[in-house]
Amino acid sequence: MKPRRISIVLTVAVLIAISVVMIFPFYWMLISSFKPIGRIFTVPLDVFPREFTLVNYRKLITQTPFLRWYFNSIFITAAYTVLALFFATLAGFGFAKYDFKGRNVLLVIVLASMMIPLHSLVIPLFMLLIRLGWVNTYRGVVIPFAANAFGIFYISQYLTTVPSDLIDAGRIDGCSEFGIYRMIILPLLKPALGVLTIYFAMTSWNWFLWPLVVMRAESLFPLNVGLSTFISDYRQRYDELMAASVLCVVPIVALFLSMQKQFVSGLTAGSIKS
Amino acid sequence: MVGKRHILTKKTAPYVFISPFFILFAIFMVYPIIYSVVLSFHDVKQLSQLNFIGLGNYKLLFDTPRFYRALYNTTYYAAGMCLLNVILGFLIGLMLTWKHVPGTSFYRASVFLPVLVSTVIAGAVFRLILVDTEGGFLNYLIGRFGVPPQNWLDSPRWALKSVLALGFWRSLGLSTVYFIGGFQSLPDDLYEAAHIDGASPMQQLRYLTIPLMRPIIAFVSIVTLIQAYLVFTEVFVLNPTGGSARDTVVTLGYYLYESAFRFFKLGYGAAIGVVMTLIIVVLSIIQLKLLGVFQNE
Repeated sequence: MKPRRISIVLTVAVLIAISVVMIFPFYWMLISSFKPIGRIFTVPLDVFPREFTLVNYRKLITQTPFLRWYFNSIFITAAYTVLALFFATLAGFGFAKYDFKGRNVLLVIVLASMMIPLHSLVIPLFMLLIRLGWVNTYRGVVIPFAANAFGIFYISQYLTTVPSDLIDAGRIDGCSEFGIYRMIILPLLKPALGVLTIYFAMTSWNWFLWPLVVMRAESLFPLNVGLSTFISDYRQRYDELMAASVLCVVPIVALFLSMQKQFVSGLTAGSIKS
Repeated sequence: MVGKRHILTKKTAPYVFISPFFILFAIFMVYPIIYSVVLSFHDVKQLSQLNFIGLGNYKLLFDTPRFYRALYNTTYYAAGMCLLNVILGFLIGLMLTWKHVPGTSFYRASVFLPVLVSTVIAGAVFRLILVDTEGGFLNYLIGRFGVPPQNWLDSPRWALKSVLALGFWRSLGLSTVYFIGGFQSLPDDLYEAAHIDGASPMQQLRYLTIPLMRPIIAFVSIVTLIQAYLVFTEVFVLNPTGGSARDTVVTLGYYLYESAFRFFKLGYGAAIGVVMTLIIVVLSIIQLKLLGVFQNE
């Protein structure tokens, strides 16, 4: 049965309208980043770019710690992702492929820990960090959350589909237990690692509350915390802010467009945790 | 190889492999949770000076109008996020899986793109669009239809709705993806049978699609609800300096941050944290119950 033409046309019209609304903020970010500050919210408003200037980008790079913040974000994201992947694969392997006393209870603890929101921890955790001398350090941001329960759950679920014969064969060949993890399990986990990498990287890239609390020195801010100071600044530096936004969003969108499938599964996998 | 001894045997290895998680879990989760309950019964003067005040913080909390405002705002936000994500995610997912629509991958990508933007950056652009003069795009747009400029970010009428708009813009893509997944796994033959029996498209939607999609609807609503109850960054970005209409956007997460890290009332903040945790745990238990639906069917 072919539906009536009019209903197809209407559906497409609605979808186009929705897409325009969803994409518009990107467009606005982009053209505002090329407007001189005096024209960003003048009346009458330029809805289409009239002047084109790179001065916002130049100011951003030369007069603000933007590049430093970018580095901090990349460093925090990379460190967190690597650590979290290591702990998740190791523990996921432990849970999936060994039979040991207390396994089920411990697994339930891992799963239950996913319920706990950061908000209920943030105050005592901050006090703990002060005592450890970890305020204003990268490890203070990264380490408290490096053992990710969802990651463990995800890996152990994934490994249940992998036959255990391979592991036994490895043992017979004289592999150590860690050798089995490194030589047999990690290569098998490649697809799952792709998904988890995106999930961990996107999560830590977007962190806000925790680094806001831990990082007190401007030079240690990750991007989100740094850029939020542009907003609360009395001058509301939209010129630099829009240029910065473009420089943050473009690489991620480019990555997304080149590997949409992995991104979608990485990001959707993440919300299953709650 | 014979005789080579490894410290890790088949017996000890699993404990070693899972130990990093449990060590970090004990230090950075179990201990803080217990300590946060302890803190909530104390007045914290200096970091090391705790004065036991029993239920004092909770009494104060339940006597403070701002707390009720925060509870109301958070619930409003969470309910709004839930309804918008379920209804629009469902409808857009339905349209995007309709096989007669051309070019769905383009629409799909454009609905998903905002998911990639961090809340701070999304908030920055939203602030610019929502500027309260005609120099803001939204006011410029409604001005074209003769509507006077509105104070989107700070007025009691709009401030919270703006926060909701920001949260929704960033979350719609994910919800839609879940619904798309659900629609794609619906069995075709049931629809053919329904069609042969003369069921109209609306009847098919009402009696087939919605009941079959119930697990996804339950999943999206509860996941959205739980995450929305923790809302903090959206509020922080849209109203960072404490405007005149502050009470209109304060949420539990924001109230906690403000009490603890702006006014340094750590015990009081911990009490808010305990209340939030209770809400989240209750919602999570409901979630587990609801998702049991998945296993039974």
